[in-house]
Amino acid sequence: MRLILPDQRELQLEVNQRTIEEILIGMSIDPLTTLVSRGGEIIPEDTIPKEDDIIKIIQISHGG
Amino acid sequence: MVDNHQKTCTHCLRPAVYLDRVREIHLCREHLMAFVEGQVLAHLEKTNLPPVIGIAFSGGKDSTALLKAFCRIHNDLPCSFLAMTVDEGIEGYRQDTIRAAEEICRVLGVPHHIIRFQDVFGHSLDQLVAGSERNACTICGILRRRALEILARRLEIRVIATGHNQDDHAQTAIMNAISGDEKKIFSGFAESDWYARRIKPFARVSEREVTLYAILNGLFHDLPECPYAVSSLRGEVRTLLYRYELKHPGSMRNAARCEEEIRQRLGGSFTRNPYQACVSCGWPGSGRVCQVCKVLNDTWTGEDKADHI
Repeated sequence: MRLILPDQRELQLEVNQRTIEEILIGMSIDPLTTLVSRGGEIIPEDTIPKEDDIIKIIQISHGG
Repeated sequence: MVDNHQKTCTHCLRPAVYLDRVREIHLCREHLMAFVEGQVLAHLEKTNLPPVIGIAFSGGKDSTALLKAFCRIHNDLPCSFLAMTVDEGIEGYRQDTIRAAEEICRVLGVPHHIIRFQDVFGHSLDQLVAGSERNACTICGILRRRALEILARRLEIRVIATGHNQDDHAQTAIMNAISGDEKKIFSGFAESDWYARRIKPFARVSEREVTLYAILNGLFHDLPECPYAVSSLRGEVRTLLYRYELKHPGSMRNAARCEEEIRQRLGGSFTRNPYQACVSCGWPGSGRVCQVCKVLNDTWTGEDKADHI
């Protein structure tokens, strides 16, 4: 799976049957501060992506 | 059999876009939008509204989503509406967001009115910040509220809808508890004929739901962040609340509602202070001199002080 982070960094990750939520938590990203897009469509964070998916993370709130 | 690669809506089996952790259901695009618009309509239906209300429209995602929601449910609304924007005067930031706000109103066909710090106070926020030791957000918050009120008076608007969402309410409740400022929770000021009444139709809608609503309507743009934005107590409280919400779904909603429910249970038994007329500008405020005049007096003296009445 290719993961595109809000800062536009791209990572290649193995899914290993994890949900996007679990992957984000593993990266110390709170899933509730984000929305998730796959192929331009928003999907829930409890989705298990496929190994060839491109997943984009959208940050919903900034600091301040 | 459940397909964990493609979640479906609990109501209609279309592809899901959202996991509602509190209700433990998935929603598709249509049901998420119906939920958000239903919350807005429910809020408005229990509110006594005049024929026209103003929507405080910064051009950010929350107020943009609110404006869109109003447009989509306008046939069911008991009132018409217009958009009100304050241009604080922040070089290199606000021009683009004001242009975005103008474009959104043009596309949605909503009358749009803009008021500028420069015109009301004689100076832009950039100039005021440069001449003051106060925090930029403090200056901006106080003056923006006044500017919006001045615009409302010009337009004869008596009710202003703001884009504050459930997360904002929860953060404020926790901040009030942390700061121990019970006056903010239990007293406040009595209703005033002077100030327009504020309503918050997104009070029962989370920030994620508001953002998703904006995205699904093609209205979410990654606008630049205000250059004056700094880390604050609110930011820390937001992080804390998200952490709780993840482990204990409903925490955000409960924190948002707790103050409101305590106030309701107390009924009218807590004291509401009357406003005092400011000796300098005459506007009702919390003391002999209102916060706006204090900010302007701290920043500019004598002939530099703007006539902001």
